Amino acid sequence: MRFATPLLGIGALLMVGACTPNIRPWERGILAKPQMAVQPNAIEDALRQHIQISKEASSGGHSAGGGGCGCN
Amino acid sequence: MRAEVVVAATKSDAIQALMTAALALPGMLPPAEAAHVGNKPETDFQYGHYQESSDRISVDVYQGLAVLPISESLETRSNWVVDTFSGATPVLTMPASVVQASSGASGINGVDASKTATAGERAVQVMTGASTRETRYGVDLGFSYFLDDLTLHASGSRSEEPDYLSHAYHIGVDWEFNQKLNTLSLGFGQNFDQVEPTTRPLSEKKTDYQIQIGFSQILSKKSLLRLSAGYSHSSGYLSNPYKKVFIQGLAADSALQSGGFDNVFFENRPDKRDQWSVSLGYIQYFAAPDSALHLDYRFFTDSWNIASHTFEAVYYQPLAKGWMLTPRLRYYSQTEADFYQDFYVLPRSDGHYSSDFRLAGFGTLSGGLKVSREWQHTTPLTESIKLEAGFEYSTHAAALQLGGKTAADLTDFSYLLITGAIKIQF
Repeated sequence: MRFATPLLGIGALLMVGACTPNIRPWERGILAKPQMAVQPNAIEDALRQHIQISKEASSGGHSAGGGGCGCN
Repeated sequence: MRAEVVVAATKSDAIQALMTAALALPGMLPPAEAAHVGNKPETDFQYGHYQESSDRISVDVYQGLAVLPISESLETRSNWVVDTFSGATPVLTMPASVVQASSGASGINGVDASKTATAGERAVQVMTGASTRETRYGVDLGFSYFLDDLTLHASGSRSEEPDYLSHAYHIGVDWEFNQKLNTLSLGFGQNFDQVEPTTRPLSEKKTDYQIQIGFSQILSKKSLLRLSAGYSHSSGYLSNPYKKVFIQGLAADSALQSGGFDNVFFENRPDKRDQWSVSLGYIQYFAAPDSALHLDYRFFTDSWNIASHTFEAVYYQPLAKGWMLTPRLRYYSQTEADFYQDFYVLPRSDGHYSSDFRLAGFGTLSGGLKVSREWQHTTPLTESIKLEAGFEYSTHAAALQLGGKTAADLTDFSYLLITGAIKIQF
């Protein structure tokens, strides 16, 4: 049952996607700017995620995390 | 996830954007090539220094990244990390009334078994000595294969430190559809870990698997939305092998290993854990300052009854001559695990105990700033060279928990993270 909410959300967004007005490829120059990238800085994100996973009880919401104990 | 929806254009020049966008039109280029126009060999190096307050641990982190396109449809990516930490860490919290003698901040001499602890009394924190020093080496190798609307990813990693060995793999696929206005991503990975603490005759295993699903939607010429959900299942030894707990009235011959003093044992967590997360991200461009705001929210919950909320905002402000300012703000709040207590005045029927601050209720507030400068076409060999410097300050406090404080202040701490990086594109 705990899957229901995210799956419903994704289903709803898929429907939103189907209704979105078309944005032509030549109108996507802004979306290609580096500051618009979903993950503009992979190496820095990896460091920050490793610290957060080591100090907090939560994970997920990102791409795959790194390994290691983080015990200390 | 690949963010370059059309092409990875790095210049704000409108003509350049128009030309590269036109090249990505169906039929203008072979499909595989169109999928990753702009991918260039790249190498990054980053140094980070992490310092916790009150002489708690500090970590020096060296990281590298190399992206190497092999052909028009194949790209390899490698990451490595070496981190060395030293300093004191919390090992135990116990009721103040039973501490026999305290020898400074680093430890206690014993537990006075003639005294009886009461629930709700003040707790004290016991730290390890400051001598701990360990180095971790990690490497991750992967590749991406670009087809027309699909990108396939696979990677494998290894991380080794004196007391912990981890092997992992991850596979994933990104599917762009609806004229590349949408991306659907699926991922699956497994970890195989081995724990052998340096101070205990213990050798235990832990395995995890994770499933991720992600979806992104271009909302307009200036905004996009991202949604992702994840599930992971862990089994095996999920305790922290160095953490101890104070349990009053537990028989010394119980399943828990003694922690060296009366009523002190090594912690014991459940041997299974399920974790769920769902996150939402929104990116908005502002034309006049040429800037972008990234907003992210994540909800997390697990089978130990921890729930957390994370809010994050990052603002990218390009300035003249290749300079960029990136301030960031993050708030995190979690509830405690259902078996967590600062100390236990009575044994629990399920036998699960932990006083690790990570499983307590608390909140974290962090803020940081990064400055970067990029030089393009400065040498015949390089397309771009970028230098970055940044810092982040974070405070972790029981009082910052959303909806009211449930834990003692004694585990509060703060940290400072300083980073410097060089990134070269060829």
